[in-house]
Amino acid sequence: MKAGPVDASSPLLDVRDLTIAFGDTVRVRDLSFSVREAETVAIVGESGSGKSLTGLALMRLLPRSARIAGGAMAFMGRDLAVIDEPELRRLRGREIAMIFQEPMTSLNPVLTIGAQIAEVVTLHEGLSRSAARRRAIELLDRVRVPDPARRVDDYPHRLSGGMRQRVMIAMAVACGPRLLIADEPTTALDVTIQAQVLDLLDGLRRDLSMGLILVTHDLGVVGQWADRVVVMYAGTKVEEAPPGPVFADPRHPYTAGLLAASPRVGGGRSYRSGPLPEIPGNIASAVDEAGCSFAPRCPHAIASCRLARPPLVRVGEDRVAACPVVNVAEPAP
Amino acid sequence: MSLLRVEDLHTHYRTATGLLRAVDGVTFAVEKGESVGLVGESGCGKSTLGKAILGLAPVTSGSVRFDGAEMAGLSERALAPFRRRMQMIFQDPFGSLNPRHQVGDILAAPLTVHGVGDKAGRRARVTRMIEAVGLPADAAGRYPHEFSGGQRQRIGIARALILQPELVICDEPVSALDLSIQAQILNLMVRLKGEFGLSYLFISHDLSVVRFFADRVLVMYLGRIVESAPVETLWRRPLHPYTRALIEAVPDPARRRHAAPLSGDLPSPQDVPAGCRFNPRCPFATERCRREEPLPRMLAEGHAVACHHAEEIALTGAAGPAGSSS
Repeated sequence: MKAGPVDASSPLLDVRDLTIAFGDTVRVRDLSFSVREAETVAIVGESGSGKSLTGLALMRLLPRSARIAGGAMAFMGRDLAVIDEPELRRLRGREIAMIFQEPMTSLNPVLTIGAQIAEVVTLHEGLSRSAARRRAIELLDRVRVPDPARRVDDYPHRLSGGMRQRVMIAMAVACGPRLLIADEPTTALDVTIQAQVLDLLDGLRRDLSMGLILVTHDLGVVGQWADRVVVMYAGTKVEEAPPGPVFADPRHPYTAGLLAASPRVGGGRSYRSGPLPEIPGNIASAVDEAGCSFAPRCPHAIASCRLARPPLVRVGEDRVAACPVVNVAEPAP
Repeated sequence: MSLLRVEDLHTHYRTATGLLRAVDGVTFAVEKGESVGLVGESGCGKSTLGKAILGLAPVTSGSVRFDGAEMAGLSERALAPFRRRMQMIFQDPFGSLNPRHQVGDILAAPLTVHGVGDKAGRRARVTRMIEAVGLPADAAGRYPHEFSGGQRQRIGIARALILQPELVICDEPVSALDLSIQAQILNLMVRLKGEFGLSYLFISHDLSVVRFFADRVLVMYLGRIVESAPVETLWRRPLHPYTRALIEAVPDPARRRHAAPLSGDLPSPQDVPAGCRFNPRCPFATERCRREEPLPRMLAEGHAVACHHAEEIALTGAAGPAGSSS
């Protein structure tokens, strides 16, 4: 299982064989990937892929009924899977931060945004009240909230969805974290606002040299903003590579099917030139599958696919894929 | 004669904080057999427009003609015969399906309401429809919660089509679905269009989906249609600066780390800017744009745009006057 892409510089985050379970049900299985400084890694998948659980596990924010059933998450010399609560509290917000799809649910509706940002910087940096307020205004300016000196006294409901997400980003980067996990950060936003927020996140990644994990279902976002893509299906990584090669030449049938089914990627197509290639069935078929979880929907599946989980194999420069069928048929260049 | 003809339609709401002009003077038509896409961002009024056409949102002024007959201002009772011929598909199929009713009863309900056929005839029609939308044959005896998201949308489609309508208004029909399921539903809707001789008004925030599905596209911004064109023309030669920004904002692997084409937030429909509604966000805006609201002008066959500077913009390469690369 140690077939992950290797790199000379040691990564900021190194996840090895992470397994997340709800009771006896495994929802993420033997997941390995790493994130380097100033690198954007996209974890892409559909509902049920385990991509959001992975983000939550890194923050140790899994729901009570879930547990880390195996593996390690090495981050700055510590294993996030096993460190205790006090150490975790020190890391969260300061070294690792996370933002979510719905900023409104993470903001306190009865406190001004200034008070909420100030709370974060007071907690972690021990600033005085007035200094914290100045810092809040600075941070709002940094995330390009217009007129920050006035906005700082607004309540969350007075802000648009895009502005609220900027406020969440301001809180997340307040202490200059080394790693930011963004779980569908722009999914609830309009497309012109989405472009602004992604642009902002990318600028912060560069300026702060922080690792960015972009958890998303959107292949367009992945292609435009990620340095590396981890494709997940039903709890397992099926492919990992830089986005260019993934889009040009996907090496797992699920990735290929997803790209083909997307009306977006590939320059746009019309119903007049024929139907979109479908992936038949749905992800529910992966439950109880002893072999490859995608086999029940896969056009290339052969008998052996149903017997054992296929290992990740190297399929080229800096790439792995978990499909011996298509990769034996066309060997890596 | 157009199947649907909407003229200068307004839907205004009085709210505690002032007048909300959700739909503010919209004119367009849907021809028989045509799929018209309606795109725009939140608050642009696209969903309200869809509902106003069906009489599910108030019409403040203007005209909605279906097959030549005026619908605006009719009573519920007088609308009934129109409703049979126009149906709606919603984004969230689960929210619109009664969880206590079996699928067979859900599908038969519109037939009962409109007094179509006898019991056996209705049952036969339900069976045929279940097959047409690709649901399992035993679906009639099961409940909505037993189905996946994609299959629930198939139920929603079956319910909309059971009365054999001529026009189907779809409001974000695939937005809640995973990509692999989205393709299944889009293909199904295209196939049913041919099988049942449908026309669609397809409302979506997703330009790529509209590009696949539509023959013609209307782009809506703050209650108005700012551009309309055949689908390929719109992508090849968008003339309104807003349309261009919308297209450019779609994340695309071909544009690595591309800067956002528009700055600024969407204005509220309660606070519509004077002059051209788009002028505060528009890189091309001039004094005239801040003063005078542009009316839609037909600049090419089937291609209308509401912009004072459309001709000059057509000559520039990208979304901004500086002509950044794309």
